[in-house]
Amino acid sequence: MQIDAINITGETEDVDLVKRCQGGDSKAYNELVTRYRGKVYAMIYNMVRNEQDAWDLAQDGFVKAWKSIANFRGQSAFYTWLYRIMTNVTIDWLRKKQIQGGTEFDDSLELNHVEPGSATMPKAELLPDEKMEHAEIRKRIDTALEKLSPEHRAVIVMKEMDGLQYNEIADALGCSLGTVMSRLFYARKKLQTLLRDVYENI
Amino acid sequence: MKTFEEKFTAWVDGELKGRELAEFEAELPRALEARLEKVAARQMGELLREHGRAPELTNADFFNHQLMQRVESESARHAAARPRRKFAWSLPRLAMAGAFSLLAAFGLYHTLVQPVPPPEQKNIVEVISTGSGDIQSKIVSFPQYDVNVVYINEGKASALPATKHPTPEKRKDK
Repeated sequence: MQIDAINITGETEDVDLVKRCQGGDSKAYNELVTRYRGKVYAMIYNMVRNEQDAWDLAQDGFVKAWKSIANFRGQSAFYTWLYRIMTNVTIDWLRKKQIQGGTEFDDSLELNHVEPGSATMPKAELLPDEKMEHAEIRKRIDTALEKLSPEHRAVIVMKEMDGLQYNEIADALGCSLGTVMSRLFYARKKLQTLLRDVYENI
Repeated sequence: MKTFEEKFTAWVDGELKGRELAEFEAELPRALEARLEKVAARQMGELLREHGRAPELTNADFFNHQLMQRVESESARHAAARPRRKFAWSLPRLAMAGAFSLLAAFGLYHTLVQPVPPPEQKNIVEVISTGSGDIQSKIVSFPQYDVNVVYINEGKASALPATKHPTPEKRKDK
C-alpha cells in the first residue's frame, strides 16, 4: 500500500504525485492537472489573448509535460518546471504565428532614442464624461500586448500579471537577469506609448 | 555592471536599495520626468492586473477529460513504439564479444580448413655424360632458391694447372 505525503491542506504533495506519474500512473497526472490548470490557462491566456488558443496551448503543454515527466529530477518545484514548459510552448506558438501571419512586432520603436525619464507620449485628453468601459479597456490591452514581440510580451505578463521575480522570469525563459530587466524596460516603454491614454483616464 | 535600462527597471520596481539607489537617483538626467515615468509604469502595471487578467477556465472538467484522452493515447503509442529490450553494448561486453569471435574464427579455421603442406622441395640432379671416363659432371637444381649448380669432377685427367704456392724454404731472406 502506498502512503503519500499529505500537506497541511490535506493534499498529496506534488513530488509524490510526480513519482506516481513517473511510474505511469495517469490518475496522479490528472490530479496535478486539476491543481494547476487554472494558473496555466491564465498564464497562457495573458500571453495569447484568446480563450480557444489558450485552451489548446494549455492542452499541448500538459501533454508535453506528461511525455517529459520521466526527466523531471525534482531540482525545482513541479510548478516551476511546468511553467517553463508552458512558456516555451506559448512563445514557440507566438513565433510561428508571427512567421505564418507575417505579423511584425515593432520592438525597434524608440529603442535607440529612448530618453531616460522621458515621457512616452503627451498626456491624452480626458474622455468626455464617462470612463471607458471594462470591455473596451480589455480590448485595448489585448491590442497593445499583441504589438509586443513574444519575448517582450512574456516578461511583461510574468512580471505585471503573474507577479514573478526577475530570477523566476529568467529561469522560465532561460535567459540572464540583465536580459529580463532590459526587455522589461523596452516592453514597458512600448506599452506606455500604446496605453497611456487608457491608464491616465480610468 | 548594470546598464541604464537594467537600473531603471530595478528602480521602477523598487529593487534598487541603499548606495545603488542613491547613486542612480543622483545620476538621473531629468529627475522629475523620470519620477513621472516611474509612476506611469506602476499605473500601467495596475491597469494590466485589473483589466487584463485572464477569464476563468470554463468547462474545467472537460479540459481534464480531453487532456487525459490525449495522455492515454500518447502512453499507448509510446508503449507500442518502445523496443522490448534494449541491449547495452558496454565496453567489457564489446571486448568479450570480440575475443569470443576471434576464438571461434580460429577454431573454425583449424577444424574446417585443413592446412595443405607445401610440396616437398627436392633437389633435382641431372648427370651429364661428358664422353670421358674420368670427367664427371652433374647439375643440381635447387628450385626453392631458383638456383642451378654445375659440378664438374675432372678426376686425374684435369687439365687445369694446379695452384702453386711458394714454399718457405725457397724464400731468400736478406
